[in-house]
Amino acid sequence: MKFSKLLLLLSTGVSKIHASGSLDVDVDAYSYVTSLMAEDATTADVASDAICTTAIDEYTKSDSIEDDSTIEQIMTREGLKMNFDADDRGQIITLDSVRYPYDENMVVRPLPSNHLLTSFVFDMTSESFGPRRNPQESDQYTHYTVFPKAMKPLLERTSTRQLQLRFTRGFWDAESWGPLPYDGVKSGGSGVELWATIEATSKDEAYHKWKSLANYLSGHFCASINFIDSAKTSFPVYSFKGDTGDSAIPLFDRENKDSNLYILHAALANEPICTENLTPLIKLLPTRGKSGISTYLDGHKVFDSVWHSLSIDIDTKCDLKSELCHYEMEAMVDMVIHVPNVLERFENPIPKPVGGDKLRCDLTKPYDAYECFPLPEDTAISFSLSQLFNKTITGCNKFIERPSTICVETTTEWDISLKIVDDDSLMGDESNCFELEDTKRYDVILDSHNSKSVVSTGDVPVFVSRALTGYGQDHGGLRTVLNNPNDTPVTITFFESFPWFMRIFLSSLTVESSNGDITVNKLMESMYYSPAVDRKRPTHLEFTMEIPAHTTFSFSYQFDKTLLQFAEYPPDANHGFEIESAVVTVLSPKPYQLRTSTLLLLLSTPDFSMPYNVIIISSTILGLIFGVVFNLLVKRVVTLEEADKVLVERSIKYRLLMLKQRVLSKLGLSH
Amino acid sequence: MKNSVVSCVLLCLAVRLVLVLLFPGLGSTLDQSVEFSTPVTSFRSLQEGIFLLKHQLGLYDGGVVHLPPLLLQLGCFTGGETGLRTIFILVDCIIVWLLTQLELTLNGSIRCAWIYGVNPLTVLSCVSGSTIAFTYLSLITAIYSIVVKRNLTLSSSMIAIMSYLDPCMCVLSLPMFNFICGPKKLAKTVLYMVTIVVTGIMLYSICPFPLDVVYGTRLTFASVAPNMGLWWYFFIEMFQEFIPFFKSVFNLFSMGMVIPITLRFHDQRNTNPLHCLILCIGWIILTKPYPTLGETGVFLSLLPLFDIDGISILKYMRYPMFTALLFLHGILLSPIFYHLWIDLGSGNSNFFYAISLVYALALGLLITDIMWGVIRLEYDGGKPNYTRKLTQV
Repeated sequence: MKFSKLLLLLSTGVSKIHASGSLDVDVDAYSYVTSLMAEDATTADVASDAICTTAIDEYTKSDSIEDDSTIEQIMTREGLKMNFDADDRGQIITLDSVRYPYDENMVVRPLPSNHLLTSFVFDMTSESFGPRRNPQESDQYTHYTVFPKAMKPLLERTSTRQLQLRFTRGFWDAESWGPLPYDGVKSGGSGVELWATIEATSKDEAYHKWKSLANYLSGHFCASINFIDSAKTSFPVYSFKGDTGDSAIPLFDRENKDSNLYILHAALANEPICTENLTPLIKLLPTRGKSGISTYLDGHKVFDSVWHSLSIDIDTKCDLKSELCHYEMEAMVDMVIHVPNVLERFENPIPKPVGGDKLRCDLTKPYDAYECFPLPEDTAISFSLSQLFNKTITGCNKFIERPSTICVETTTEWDISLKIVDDDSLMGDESNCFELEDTKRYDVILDSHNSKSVVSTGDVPVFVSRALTGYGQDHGGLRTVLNNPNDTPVTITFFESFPWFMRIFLSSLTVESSNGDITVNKLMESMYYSPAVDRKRPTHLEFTMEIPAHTTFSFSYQFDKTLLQFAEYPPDANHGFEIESAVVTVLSPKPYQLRTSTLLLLLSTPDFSMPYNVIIISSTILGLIFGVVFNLLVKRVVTLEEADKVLVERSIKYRLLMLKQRVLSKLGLSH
Repeated sequence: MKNSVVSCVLLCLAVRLVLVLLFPGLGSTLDQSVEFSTPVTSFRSLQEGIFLLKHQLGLYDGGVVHLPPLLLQLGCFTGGETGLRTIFILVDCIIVWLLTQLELTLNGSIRCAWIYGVNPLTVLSCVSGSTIAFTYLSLITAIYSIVVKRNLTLSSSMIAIMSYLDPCMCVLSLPMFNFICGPKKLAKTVLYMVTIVVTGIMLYSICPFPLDVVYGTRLTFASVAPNMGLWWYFFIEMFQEFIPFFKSVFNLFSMGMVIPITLRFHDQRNTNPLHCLILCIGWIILTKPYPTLGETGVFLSLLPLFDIDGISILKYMRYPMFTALLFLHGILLSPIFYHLWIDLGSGNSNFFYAISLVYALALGLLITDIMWGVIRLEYDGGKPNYTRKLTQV
């Protein structure tokens, strides 16, 4: 068979590369190929491609090969012919013509005060499948081409139709940077946030599937998502409906009348986000971070930022006519870095004080060797992406439909050029969008004399802030301020979820607004409120509200903090408990989503060293009182003289004496 | 005598009105204090319940409201905080009037009412808006109707209302059996029991509610909050596996002890059934999961009833001074130690725990001391002899 021939070719190729000693080809990738080959020829193509890219990657690092040969050259030299002709009886698909639905692009946008937003977008689409077809009857094989193999069985097992996972940390300065990237719909609250649309016949079933989903994702993304339980899960009513639009999510199990779609949401506030979460994300990409723009996704760089957000969105799209569905997955990494800081680290890996000659002093003020009033940061700035990421980028269009692109969104005051590292040539373009072709190495150079000039992305529709009020560890208040600074009214839905140990008193709800339009009754009209059940369910609060133009309104309520049981406190109980951020979804004038910061709630704690003491002391007091009452109730009241007599009669000595007398009297010896 | 009754009720009214009007924030401050408010009786949970009821949100969906629905329905009619506070003051005035009538019948004086009217514990409890006022209104009415009016049906329905409001108090129906005497005792007992059950079922069926949320919380101490009782720290520190066992032990301890007390003082020749009842009230206040100082205030107000017709049981007490000082110690230090723990953070939970133990000891000592007095009087055959030295074997 041709498959085995290809397998043979590939294996000889790989082993030859191995034998040459110059390359350390990923053996995993090789076994991956062989395992997938058994399944499908098309998969093998991707896999071989993966090997090729790997080979190139490793090859370019290698010292023993002098010139930058292309993949074809290596292959030829190693006696491997990969470019089969498509017309060769049509049985072997050629490498050149097979393209997969994978897109990747990178957008770089300078922000005010020398910050830089870098966004990576990866789009993957799965092969079509018929959800209502019996897999045994289907004449199709299961294909995993560019869609991650890990995800599809999970989605099928848990009947998940939409899945959104967010890892976000840091502070997005909306007042100076403007709206969040992608209108906020791709970034979560600080920590981990997960919401999904699950098809189930009941709420309980949905929860069980959700729990299984969370456990799986926890293992896959090395995050504490498995700590999501019923006390952290809420079923949003207005929010997180998603942009279903014309392609509404279909029910796969249409025969069952109970079948319904449930949206579940949970967040783990202030969960640390780190490189162990990024690596699994990169592993989902077909390029595996080895080529294309994902090369830049290095944990050291992504997490060395002011704000970063990793997101994964999986959506099910179905064609109603053919009853075929496919999954679409969007993985995104966004980060904001402060350019001078990163450059400083690039130039000076070991931090050193700035030399006197490099200090930028305000010349209008007195300055000398000891005194210097620093100037604000220089607005003339020039840097390249390789300085920021410590890497050049390699094009990757061996198997994807469109080449990877890098776009820079700037004003005309910036000069953007693409540098091909291999031949040191520079290219520029009006659109500032560059396609990365072949396997050349690229770099992007950004240069501006006025870095303050940045692209405006419109107004933020609404600002929100939330804070804890009050003192003391037994009760407190929560105050949220929403501000619409624009000329148009804004319709929002507000979603909040609290752990059960915050016992909200909705009756203490007070509303203040700058023009008096918004009252408690108006707020209560659309209020969805599901109070917490101890250890089982969070408080869930949602409402829809129109905020008039130029209006600030705030609402606040009081809550009690309950004590937990000894073992329910985390090891660092006095650190406090993280409260997840509230979600504000703007419905009109344009869809937008933003979140408040998370809160740190301090709970009163018992003395953790006391369990035995408390059990002993409390029991003693109870025993004491019980003993006294019991004695009073059952004992006979006597005078002291009688008591003495009784006591004497009860003594052992007296009893022995009596016994002796009795024995003696029996024997007739008594007198 | 009529004048002094009126002046007593008026004084009760005046003290509470002055406090509420002069210090408008006092109510909510006291409502936050652990001494006068518990998760199951607090004014804010009453307000929350009324709010949820008015906005037709799930009343017993969550873990905040544990009050029975009829009380909340009553609150709905009053409208607003002012109305509720007025009701609380009125309820206290009615209790004071009932106490005057009760003691006038028994003794010819109105010391109970005076103590209830100006006792800081009951006054502050009223200002805090604790719903124990309704529980004790029904209890005092029950006592009043059986002692003064000799009306068994009214009394038993009041006991049913009391149990409806607070299931921990339902065992107080047992010492009430001791009041049943005279001819047709069996018929009266049956009538008493039937009335309680029928009233209870009626109250429930007017407005059904999930029993586990309203009563389960109180009986199983589901909502752990610090208070003056013995339960809270024990169950915070208790190991998870033993919690259900110890909860049943504590409930047995609290409710079970009422039976031996009732049986011991069943004989009416030398013991007043009222004394047995008050001792049981004291016992329940000491051992219930969510006690408040307001309840202790009611108990203390009933103490003059141990001094009827010149026969004073209180004079039998062996260490009244020690008990009084322990009480003062506990009551004065508890807010300070709580503040040190919760607000300042310079003390920890053990401070408040220690003081709640002192308080429990004081209350326990008072109950046992009075119980000793009752037993002594029984020994003396109704004619006190305070000089005789007696002991128990």
